[in-house]
Amino acid sequence: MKEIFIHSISYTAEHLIFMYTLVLAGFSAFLALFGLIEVRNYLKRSRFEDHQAILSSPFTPRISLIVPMYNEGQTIIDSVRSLLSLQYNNYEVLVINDGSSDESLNKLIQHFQLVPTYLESNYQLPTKKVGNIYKSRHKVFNKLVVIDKANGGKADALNAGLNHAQGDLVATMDADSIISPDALLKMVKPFLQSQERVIATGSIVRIANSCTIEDGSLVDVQLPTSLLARFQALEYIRVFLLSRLGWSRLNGLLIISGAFGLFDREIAMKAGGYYTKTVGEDMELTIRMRRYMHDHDLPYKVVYIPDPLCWTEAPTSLSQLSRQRNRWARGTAETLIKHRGLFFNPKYKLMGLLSYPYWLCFEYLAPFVETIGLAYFVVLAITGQVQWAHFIFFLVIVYLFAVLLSLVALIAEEFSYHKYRNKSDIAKLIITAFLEPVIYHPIVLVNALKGNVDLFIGKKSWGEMKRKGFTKDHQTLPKKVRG
Amino acid sequence: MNSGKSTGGVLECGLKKDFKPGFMTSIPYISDLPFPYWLLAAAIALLAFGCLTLILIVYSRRTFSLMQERKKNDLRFRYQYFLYDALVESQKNSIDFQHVVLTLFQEENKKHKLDKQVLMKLLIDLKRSFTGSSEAQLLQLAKDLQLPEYAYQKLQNRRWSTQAQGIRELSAIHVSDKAYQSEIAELRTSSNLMLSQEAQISLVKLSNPPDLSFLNDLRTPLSHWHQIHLYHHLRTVNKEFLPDFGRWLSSENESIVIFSLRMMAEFEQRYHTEVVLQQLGHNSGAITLEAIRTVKQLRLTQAVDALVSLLQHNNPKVQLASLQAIGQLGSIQHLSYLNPLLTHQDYWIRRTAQDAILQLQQTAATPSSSPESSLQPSD
Repeated sequence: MKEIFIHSISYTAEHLIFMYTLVLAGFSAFLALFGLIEVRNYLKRSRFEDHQAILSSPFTPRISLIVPMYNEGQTIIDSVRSLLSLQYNNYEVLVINDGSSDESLNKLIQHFQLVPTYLESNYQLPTKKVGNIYKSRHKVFNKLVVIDKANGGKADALNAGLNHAQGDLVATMDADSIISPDALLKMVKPFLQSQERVIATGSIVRIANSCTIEDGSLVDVQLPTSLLARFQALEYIRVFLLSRLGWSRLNGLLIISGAFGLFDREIAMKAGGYYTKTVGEDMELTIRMRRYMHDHDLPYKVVYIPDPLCWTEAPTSLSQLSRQRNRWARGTAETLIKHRGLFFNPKYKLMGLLSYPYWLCFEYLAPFVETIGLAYFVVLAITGQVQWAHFIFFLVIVYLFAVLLSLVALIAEEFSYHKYRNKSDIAKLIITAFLEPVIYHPIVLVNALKGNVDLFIGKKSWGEMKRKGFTKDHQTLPKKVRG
Repeated sequence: MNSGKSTGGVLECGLKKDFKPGFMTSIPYISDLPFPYWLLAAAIALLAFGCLTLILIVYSRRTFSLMQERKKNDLRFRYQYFLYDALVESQKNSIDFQHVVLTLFQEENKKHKLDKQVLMKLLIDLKRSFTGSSEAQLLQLAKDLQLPEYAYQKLQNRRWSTQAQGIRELSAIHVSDKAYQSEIAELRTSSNLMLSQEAQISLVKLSNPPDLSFLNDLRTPLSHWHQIHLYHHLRTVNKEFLPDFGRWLSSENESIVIFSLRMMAEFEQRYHTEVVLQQLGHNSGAITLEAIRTVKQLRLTQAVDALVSLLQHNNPKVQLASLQAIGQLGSIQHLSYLNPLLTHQDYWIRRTAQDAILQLQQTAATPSSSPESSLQPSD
């Protein structure tokens, strides 16, 4: 009986883990291939795109850019100033002050000479109480609307923005992100070009650490000097350039990054806006909008474009990174649990049959499978049952595959946007690719597990991330972001 | 290292070697499989090769691109110098510009190979900065240097991107040759969307009056992107030469009707106002919406009654657009239709009605003043 039990456990574990690894590797390779094709096609098409025509056209859709703000006093003036000078002719900037306890709102009022309007508040999507709605006295700032509301979290602030947005499209971003001047111009393209209705677009997000920022705009791109930030720079290149674009080609995307995304306002509103009881509101909204389209039998697309349009500051300390990854893991778990009805549900076509199962099995469950595998290995090692030659063989294969995937992403980056121009940068990134699986991956793994534990014990908070900020007060010279 | 005769993971800890539960007999333990050293060696070799290749590719590509860029800049500078020099010479000494430049370029061709791609780009860029006789001289020069033939060769290429590049160049240097145009016309219906759009835009640019005949038989939707680009070129055309867009209002293709309405509004074509008004009652919400915008832009005050009836439309976007249009085109007697909307359950209808009422009141008070939007500060 004991033998049967040990055999059964051993046999099942070996085969399951082996098959899981094989399928995951296959999926990763498949997505990478699709991602590369998508990048190539996009760049080819871009050669014939005349943005001047859009800039001066009276037919461009109006975009409302929603910027939730919570204690962003350090950077908000520069951020808003840069947002007011984006290259697009028909947009408004809605800054939502989510009950900041610092000087953020006062700084905005003083700098942009804001005064309250008599507009009533809109609660079509339920939100915390909205106070004043401000506009500037100066015509030069007439694109700016500032909405002051009680603190309710990022999703609540975004909902307040959705309620007051006048545009057909709404762009959402983090107040501490930096977007390129042509970001709206490029993000709106899929909405204009596609024969099918596009409900959301996202762009590549990159790491701004060590880059030079001037007046809220990125002026010089540098590879992060901090190793932790550099790991994330590589991770972002790989995830966005290969995986997200691969899913975009399949029309199977389940997430548009909260750092910067553009949505069809009508569908976002009809789908119910942002869900305030999750910390993964960006993924949750994307899925709910997709579900809405399926439920109403409407053809649609969710698109990612490979242009690196958004730059964000990556955590440079382990504690910050830990909080961020913990939150991401909880957000993913909450969203997947909430939408569990999608799992292998043919009604939702590719989303139900492929995207959801993939996210569940390979994004959410991966840390658990990996932990089980490690625990199984430890037991075998303690009982002296490890065949070391086989173990080393598989370990090296998996390691090499992970490194290879990063190298493919670096090649894609080199042939597409090659933002890191210093010759030494590519060598540094290759070294980072070799170090990542052994140094960075375990950190991410542990925090993903901690996130699930926190979810289980009912922790709901975002976990504050102290930003170093892109610029400091009274600073006129270009500033390098540390890290 | 294991020799390949594996005994299985658990078999080495005292379990019976020949023991196997039933379900395991068909598939062996992974660790029972022969050990593929070659695969490990191949993977390591592949990765080492991959790294080296990546480094080599990156460095050689960057070096090569830099060299190419430098060479192109040098050539561009030299050609630009030739052209300006010839322009100055021809004006100073009243000598023929074409003759001077052609002689210079022939000498250039003898010494080095004339880089037609650089020259084409330079001429296209220069042409944007010149008008009148200087522009004509540059276009003639392009012909004398056989650049149209060079661009035409690209049309024969199998790659759509090269073909599209050829089309773009031919239209940029205004090649009105019928043979080339018919070749481009064939590509209007290409299954490749980018190529067909490039051909359609090119024909709009090359023909006078602009050739929009593709709208007659277009079955696929005319994307907003394409509409924006068509309009971008159409607005450079003299209004007298523009076609009457009202002819496409009966098209079965919804996007073409929308495009036509837009063009009628932008180019202020009032030949078919009756047909425009009919579009207000169209079954398609998108067409109705565009018709409202057209009516507003053309200031067709006779549409106000129809707009009032559209306030009951089931599409909120149509209701909002009607409200805005009534605010602009209506008069004080229409307030009775708007006042009840101030208590409407929809926030945007309330807010737009408020704006419209304000507009009507201000227009009644001072007919020439432009009303303030409610978004303006309250004080």
